[in-house]
Amino acid sequence: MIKKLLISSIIVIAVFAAGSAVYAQSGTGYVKETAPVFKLLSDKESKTFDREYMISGSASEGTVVTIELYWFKGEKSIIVNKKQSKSSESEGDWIFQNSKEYTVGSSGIFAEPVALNLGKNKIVLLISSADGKTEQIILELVRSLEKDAKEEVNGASLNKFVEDLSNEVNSTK
Amino acid sequence: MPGNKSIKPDYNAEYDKSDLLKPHKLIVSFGGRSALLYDNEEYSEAYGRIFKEAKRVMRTAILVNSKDVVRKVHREELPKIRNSRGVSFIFNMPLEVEAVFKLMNISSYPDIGIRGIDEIVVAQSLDRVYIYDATQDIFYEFKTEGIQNNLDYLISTLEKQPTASSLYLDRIQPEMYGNKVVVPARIGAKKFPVLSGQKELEPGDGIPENIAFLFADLFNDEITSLSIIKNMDGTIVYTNREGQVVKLYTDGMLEYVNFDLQSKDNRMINVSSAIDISTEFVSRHFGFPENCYISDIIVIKSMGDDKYIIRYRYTYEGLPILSASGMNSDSIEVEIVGDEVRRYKRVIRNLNHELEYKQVMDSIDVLDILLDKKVEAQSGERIKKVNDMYLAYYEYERFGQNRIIYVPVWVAEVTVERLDKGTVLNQRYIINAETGIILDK
Repeated sequence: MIKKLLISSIIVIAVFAAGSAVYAQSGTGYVKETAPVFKLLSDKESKTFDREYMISGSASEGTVVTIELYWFKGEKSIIVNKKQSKSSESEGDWIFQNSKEYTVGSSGIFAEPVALNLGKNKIVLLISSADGKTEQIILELVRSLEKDAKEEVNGASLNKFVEDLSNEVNSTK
Repeated sequence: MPGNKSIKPDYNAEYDKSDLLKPHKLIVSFGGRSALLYDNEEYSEAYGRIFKEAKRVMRTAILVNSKDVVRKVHREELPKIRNSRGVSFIFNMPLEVEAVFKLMNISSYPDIGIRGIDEIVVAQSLDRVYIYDATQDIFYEFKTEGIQNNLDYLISTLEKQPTASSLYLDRIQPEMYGNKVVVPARIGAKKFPVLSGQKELEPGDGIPENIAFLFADLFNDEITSLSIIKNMDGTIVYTNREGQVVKLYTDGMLEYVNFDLQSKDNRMINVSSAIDISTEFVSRHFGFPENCYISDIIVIKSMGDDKYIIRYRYTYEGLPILSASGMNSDSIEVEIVGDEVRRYKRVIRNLNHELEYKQVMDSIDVLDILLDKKVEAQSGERIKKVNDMYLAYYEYERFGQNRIIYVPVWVAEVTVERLDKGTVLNQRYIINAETGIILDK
């Protein structure tokens, strides 16, 4: 019985030990073996009123980051930002908008604003480090007009009343 | 593009003291995204209205929150506070709490433990004002519920305009960047004009007639009774031979020194009175240039009289003008001992746009240059931390006797480690914002 318990506890310890993080020493310091190629630090909100979204993060020098922007064309959408050209790629209703490539410099900082279209946007980050590691990050953001959101909450008439009142206050200041 | 604009000194100007509280950086947060707002021609109106309204909310919040209501909040809350919709004032150097309250016209407030103020945040969406004391690494939280204000409207209006997003670099690499390192993420197509400057005061054989009365006022004496000495280096020295001296240097810097202080009875003043004395003195003697603000207050405690050094900077198109004179890059400096001004230095230029405009490099590209191994090898020092980074104008070249050129630069205030001796010290790198060449450090 004691032997069984001993064996079981050894197994449990072994399982937990296998799951813990492993650190390997590199030239500059301790680096987690599972450290991402690109550490995204942007706010990961999925809804925004902003015209642009800032992609910021850190990566080692020489990492190449390609940003691809897609816009979702819903069946009922009347907003067509760009006509789908022959060269455009599409994934179902995701319409390719543009693509840009950047190389991270010695600061190790990456920061690029991406202009969003109204509606659903998909940003695909294709990351390739100098030592050949690759990673892909996908962000989906919905950009709506602040006015529309307020109307949905307040109703059009109340919104108009608040706007008029605010304008009156500000014009008298 | 802005047209010709010059700063003309108005020697009789009354200066609104609360304007001296203009921050080193004013950041408007739209909730998530934020923008560094410059007091330039394009955004001058928005800047003025947001600055005044945010200042009013701060002042009211301080006045209506009693000592026992104010809560201390740990620094971990900083990202949440800065992310909330609102306005942040970041100061160049930590300002004494008394000084800030004085400039806000708050006559008395109980001591709640704040010492130096590095940043004030009006977190509009949280209904709070936060005062950050970096020395203690603590935020002091003041409630603003019920304080009527216009900030929501002003922020929404600005949000509709095309403003460049800003980045808090300490969020990306907290070990490498300080709290103050907020930079525009992308400058875009905006170009900055080259400026030509003229000395405010030109050393000559005599005292220019239009400022003769100001010299007389400095000495509190008849102008005809002064002795004038011309040094070999071109500096003109005016003295009343009774312990008061005015030096006018060839670069246009004026230095007044009073060796004959009257206060022998150890009159102690506080920082609030020192600001009054300093501001009044500058107002009376040549005045403040447009867009001037307090950039630093140094208090030196001694057994006898305490000493206060108050420094001022002025901006052009929202960018500080950095002097190459030996004044710690500030433009006006007043040293107060007891309740008297012992030393007064100023170097002000009358500035004008040149026709030449410069495309400015992005902050990240400048950091890529600064942190490159080649720079490390050439300079013999390794940058350990970037404490601040900002755009400014810097004296570049002098053509002829009285024409000085100012170019846009990136300034990086850094802590470095000397590679040979291992000593750690603070440095200021001045980088040509167009070319990325290090001009000075």
